[in-house]
Amino acid sequence: MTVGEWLEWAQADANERGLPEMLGPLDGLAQATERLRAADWNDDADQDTPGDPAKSQ
Amino acid sequence: MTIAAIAPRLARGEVKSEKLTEECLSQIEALNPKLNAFITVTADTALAEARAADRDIAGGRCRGPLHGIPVSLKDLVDLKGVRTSAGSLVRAGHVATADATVTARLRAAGAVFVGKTNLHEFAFGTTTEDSGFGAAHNPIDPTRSPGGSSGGSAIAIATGMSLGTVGTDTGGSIRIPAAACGIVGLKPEWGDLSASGVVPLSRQLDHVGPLASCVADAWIQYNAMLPAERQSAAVPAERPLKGLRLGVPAGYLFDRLDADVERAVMATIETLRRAGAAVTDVAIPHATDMAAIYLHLVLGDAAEYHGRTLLSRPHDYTPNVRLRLEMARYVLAEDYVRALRGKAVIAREVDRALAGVDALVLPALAIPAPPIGAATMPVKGGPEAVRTLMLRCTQPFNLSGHPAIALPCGTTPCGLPIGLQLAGHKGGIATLVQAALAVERAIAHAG
Repeated sequence: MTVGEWLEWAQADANERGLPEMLGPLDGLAQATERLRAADWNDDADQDTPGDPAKSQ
Repeated sequence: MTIAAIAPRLARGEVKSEKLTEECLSQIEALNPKLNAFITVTADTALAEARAADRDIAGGRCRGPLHGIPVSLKDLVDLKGVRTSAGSLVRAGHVATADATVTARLRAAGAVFVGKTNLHEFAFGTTTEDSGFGAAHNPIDPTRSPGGSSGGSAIAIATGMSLGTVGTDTGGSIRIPAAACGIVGLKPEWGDLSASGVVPLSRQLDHVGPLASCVADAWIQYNAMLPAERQSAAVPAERPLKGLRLGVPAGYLFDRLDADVERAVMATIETLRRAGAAVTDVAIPHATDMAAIYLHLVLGDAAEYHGRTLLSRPHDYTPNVRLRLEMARYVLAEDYVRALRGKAVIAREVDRALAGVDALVLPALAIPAPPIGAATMPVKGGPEAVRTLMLRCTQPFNLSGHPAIALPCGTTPCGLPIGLQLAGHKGGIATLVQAALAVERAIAHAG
């Protein structure tokens, strides 16, 4: 699911639940999610996560 | 009045705990209607505990520097027989059936509990405005926030309502109100102090720790909350500034500061340099991603804890906190996992930044205490959301788990406190406190 698709779904759900005041905050969360997904540690999903105890044994 | 100064006098019988406790209770009675620092005041039991402490001390059974000292607890921390509200009407009927682990240790050290302090509801905010028991007010300027979420605890110390207090820190909730109220706040390393019996916000980011009038008082309380076998007999000796190696994490953590905060922090760093500290720039390359990482983790964890009560009692939450919790339920699992990986990246980068230095030095809070109700504040680069600014300088060390301490380093022209922050190595909290004692002295000397 892209961030755009997620936002569309989340805002529609919030409206359906009678929480229109959530539309703005959800937009802010979407921006943070875009930033998170763009971070370079996502470039290689096989890369060890630093500090992962399972990898240091 | 500091614990470090009063404790020897209590031990010698020159000062009585009952008198100290009465003074704190008088301060609460006089100031709480205006500042709203306390949700529950336990005057009767406090006075009984104080009289018992006086009897023990007179009988030669002094248990240490906290014996007979009036302390308060953020109302997330269980005190047996007393409501733990978490600042929310959702828990209004709750009464703790046992002490939290840190409460039990403070009790064993002879502390006298004067009450439970106000907080941002469920610690989910940085201003202590959204509390089911009403907003708390900054003691220096009551039109402003005391910071949060441990706002009531910071007010209690700043005004002498208690001499010690326990707070919690998930993104800065000990250090932010300490900076906003001009006191000291110590966030230990993650997991160092038990969080058992403390209402969680995010179990992987929550830290329990003290707020205090000075660095020595923070140590005295921290030490008493450790398991008995890890406690030490005395406050660590101050470390000379000459030769102390300090790293400045330039970039993101200094980019969006209030002009007065920037001036005071840079002047303090210059003071430390002149006193012999070796100051170098260090890097935390993914600092710009910290807010996004933090947000996904804290939202995901809060959604898990509050899922049931959001369905059963949504209207018992304050509107802003309810809104944030409702939003939390939309975080996708895949993004939560990305944030977990980012948290590990930040921890590694903070370790690297500390590799050649004894401590990092940076602001504790990017802005002075904001006006109550403010949505944005002016900073270098243009106005920015208060919540983002409040968390900016403190959340790195919640993500990384490193110990950090906030201490006052000046005021704005209108008298609002400004806070400096030092962050130290994992396993090195005593070394961090030794450095903080020296920095505290240098700031006092320069002032």
